[in-house]
Amino acid sequence: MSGRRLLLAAEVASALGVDTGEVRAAFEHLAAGRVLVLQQGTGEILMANPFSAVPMPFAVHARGHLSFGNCIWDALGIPAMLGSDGRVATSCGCCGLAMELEVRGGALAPAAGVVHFAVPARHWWEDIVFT
Amino acid sequence: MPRGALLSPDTAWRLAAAWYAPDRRHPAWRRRTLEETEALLAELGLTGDFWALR
Repeated sequence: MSGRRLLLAAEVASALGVDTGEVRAAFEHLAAGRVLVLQQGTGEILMANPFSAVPMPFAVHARGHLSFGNCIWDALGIPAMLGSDGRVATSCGCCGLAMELEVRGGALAPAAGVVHFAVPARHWWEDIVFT
Repeated sequence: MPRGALLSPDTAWRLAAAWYAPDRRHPAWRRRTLEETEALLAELGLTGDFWALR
């Protein structure tokens, strides 16, 4: 992460003083180990869970920054991993109504609704972007 | 399409908190083994065919 977004391979290479190809190979190695998910075609980072590199409908405000989770699980995982308070702004996957979840002091503030998991756990990585 | 699984927001938070408690930005971070992941899910009561990893 740099400030508010995930870095491109060329930016990582520049920061580390190494060749971009070396960084891309490292990205691919991490993706093979399911640590990163890469964008098809460009090989840039799509997901560094719990963070999404691209805007998603799970906006997370934590530590004064706006970031995006890949799903509601990841969105809640951002304040969890940062050990900070946080606010998740999203919408109901059924009716589209705005929903907000707030993490304060290591706990979730009382919230209505349900969290839906569509894909059985053993199939999550068959298509992690869909999951 | 199968219905999938429904969690309360609080259970989803506890899953996220347990899953992401080890900071992935730390150099010593490593992925959980399959057995560790199964144990984590079981501790949260996430059992049954939907949550089975194998």
